Amino acid sequence: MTTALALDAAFSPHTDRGVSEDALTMRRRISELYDDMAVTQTVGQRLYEIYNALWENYNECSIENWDGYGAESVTEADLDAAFRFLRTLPTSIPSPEISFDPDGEFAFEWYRGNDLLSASIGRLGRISYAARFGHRKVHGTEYLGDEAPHVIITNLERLFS
Amino acid sequence: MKLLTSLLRILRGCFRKTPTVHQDEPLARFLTSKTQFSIRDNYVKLGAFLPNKNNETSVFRVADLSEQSIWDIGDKDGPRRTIYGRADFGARCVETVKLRLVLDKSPSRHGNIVGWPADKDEQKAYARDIANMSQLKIRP
Repeated sequence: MTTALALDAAFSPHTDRGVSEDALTMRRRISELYDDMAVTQTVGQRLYEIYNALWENYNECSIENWDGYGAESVTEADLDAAFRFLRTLPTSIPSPEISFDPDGEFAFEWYRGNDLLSASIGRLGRISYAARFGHRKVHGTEYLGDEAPHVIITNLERLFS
Repeated sequence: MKLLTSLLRILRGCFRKTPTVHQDEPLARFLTSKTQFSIRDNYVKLGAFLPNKNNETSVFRVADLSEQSIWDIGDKDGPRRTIYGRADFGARCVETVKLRLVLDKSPSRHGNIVGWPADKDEQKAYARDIANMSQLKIRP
């Protein structure tokens, strides 16, 4: 599984900000490749389902105090950050569970038995995560750039290896 | 005389017995979004325990109550939203993760988990551990 994830990372949609001719060409190629993958039954269907789930849940939580405990509403900026994060993940990673935090951030969670990785995405790209692998527990903060933070990918690999 | 009455009131307040929670006492956190739990895999997600903007997580003491009475408390004194389920856990869990339970006078069975760290990732780590020690109860 680790090998599969590593190989798959090559096909992850990057969001580079290069402006040279080469960069633009590369970006277009990657985008075309990504579009091709998106229309396939396996990858496309999965992305479609995740995006649908994001939208449905966004509607539920886009009002103040959606949980009755004083939660902040989820904004379009949060939704945008959630989309950006999802697009940086290798496509071979199983679909995450989607939930919301009281501060209005989207949370993505992956479970395997009793192990888990939970990552909350803030509108400014801050990723707060906590994970458990058997007796080993980790947590930390990363920031979303052009790619998913290495530590997030590493922990996902650990979870599904 | 007024001064003496005030003084007596203050002294009485000082010696009033503060309600305490036994370590084995069961607590409940009412779940108001279907995204806070998984019926298929029978667990409560850690986000259900994260604190609100006042850095508090609202819970209820549910010792010696029937199942129906617990749901009734949720409807009457709880979050005023549709309650889909609840997370049951022991008061011990709160101390295990080095948080504290502060009881309210009204509603009488209400309390707040307090002492949350400021950093979100640390909050998630604490909530992860409480969620792991909790049991999901779906509302019939």
